[in-house]
Amino acid sequence: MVKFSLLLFVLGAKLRLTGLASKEFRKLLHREKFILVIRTADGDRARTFHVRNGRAWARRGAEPRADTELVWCDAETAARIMLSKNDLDVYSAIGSSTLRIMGNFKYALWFMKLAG
Amino acid sequence: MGYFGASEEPRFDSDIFPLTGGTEEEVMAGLDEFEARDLEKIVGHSIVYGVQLMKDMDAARIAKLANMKFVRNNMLYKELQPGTLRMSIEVKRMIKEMLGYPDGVRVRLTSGGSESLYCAINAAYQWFRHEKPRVKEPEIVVPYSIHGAVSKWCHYTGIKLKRIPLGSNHRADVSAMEQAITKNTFFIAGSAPCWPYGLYDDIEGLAAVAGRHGIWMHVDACLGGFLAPFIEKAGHKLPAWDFRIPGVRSISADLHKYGYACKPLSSITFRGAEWEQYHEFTASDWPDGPYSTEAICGSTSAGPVASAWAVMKFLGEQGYVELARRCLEVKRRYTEGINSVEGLRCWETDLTPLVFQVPEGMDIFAVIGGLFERKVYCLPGFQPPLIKIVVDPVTDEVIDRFVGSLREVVPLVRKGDITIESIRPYL
Repeated sequence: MVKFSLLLFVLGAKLRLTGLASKEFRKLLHREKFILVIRTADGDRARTFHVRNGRAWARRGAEPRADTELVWCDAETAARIMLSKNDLDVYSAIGSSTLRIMGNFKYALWFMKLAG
Repeated sequence: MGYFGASEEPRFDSDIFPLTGGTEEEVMAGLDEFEARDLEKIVGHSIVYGVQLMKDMDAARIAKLANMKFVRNNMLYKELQPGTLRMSIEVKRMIKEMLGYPDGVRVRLTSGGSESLYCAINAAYQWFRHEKPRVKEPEIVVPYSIHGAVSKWCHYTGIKLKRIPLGSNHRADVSAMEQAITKNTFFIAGSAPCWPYGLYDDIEGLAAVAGRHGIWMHVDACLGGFLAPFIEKAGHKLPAWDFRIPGVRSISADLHKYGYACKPLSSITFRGAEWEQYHEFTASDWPDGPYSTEAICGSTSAGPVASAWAVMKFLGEQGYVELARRCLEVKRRYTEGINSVEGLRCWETDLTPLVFQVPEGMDIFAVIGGLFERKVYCLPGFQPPLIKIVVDPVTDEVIDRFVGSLREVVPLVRKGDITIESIRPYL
């Protein structure tokens, strides 16, 4: 559980720092505008990621107006798959309903790449 | 970029465009080589295997011959080709008759369902600009399950898209869609049926909403348009979906699906000239004077139009009804077979495609990969995870092979002998 919470926190920081450090990434951020939530199915752990006007930041909790939600069956599985180097693990998670993606898949897969 | 998102980046060690041309034999041998690498024929709109694709192979053969006969005729200049022109007029007339459209509708032929959808949204947008020129951020409201081509067009044009979550029955949530409408909304749509689940949206409910708010209502019948009328003639009832519903201004329906025409060919039909006028566009701001086209594309081959004419004339209503009956039987056999495999469950869909769930916790991509390894093909649904087959009037052999492969693959996936790695070669 702690690992997942830490992962979500680090992901937010990674997003923000990459946005500051990388011109290419900033260009990418400029093209996008969305709100993405990553949470566990029981709602115990949730973090909202905002991308807008070339900036990215994260907040604790689940924003109800999210464009995309990644809902994990549990925190341990989420941490394991999000940190996995095997690109097919995310698809397997989707395929077995371990991970449910609501909304726009593009943002979900983009985030998973970032996490990896 | 392919359907599954894979990108193609082949390597070439040298230039491949020849300095001097080859012989006909050499060229055809090259094409034979490509064909041999396509493991299975993917024809129609469904993924099927083997030689005996459909019950009525004669129709498929005639469609191909007709396509070849007219393949080099350019529909852009049909007015200069009286035969091609007459043929396309007859196809449009037969579309009206086949689909039971009322008098006064205006049919346009397009290159496919995507283009038909683009035409519908664009016509609605042009109408809205005329009605409310001051609106700065025009938007459309659609159910989550509407085809991805709608998202593509909105991306290309900058139109704001609101995809509204579905009801618990996986159909459009009419009330939620109505709540999402604002003064900027110019278009709503429903599917008949939707591609992800084979379910009809409540077209009557949506049309009533459109009527209350004075906005454009479109029905996406790309998948079911040419099947539904014949399914009903075969005695199977379907929800109402067409111009019988007041308020429906446009309908898209693909001839290259259950019209059995060669690809690419679809239709966009407007209820009348009063709505079609917003689709029309003539460019005149260039040296060559007025330039207008049937739809969005410029040059298109008359081949698919010829194939549609040929199949319509060859099959007649009787032939289409027989094929529709066969589709019902195919669906029944698939459902029976799939449900007999432990843990698998078919959804009850209104028409096509047929979708089924795998046991909880089982990875659909492992199952699909295992099927692909056995040269049996299907499609994934992501939300929720489903396996999808389009219901074509295929032979019993095709059904039996699919079900037999499932019976083999599912236990192996359960044991862990087949995993998602089996799908890697196809990504």
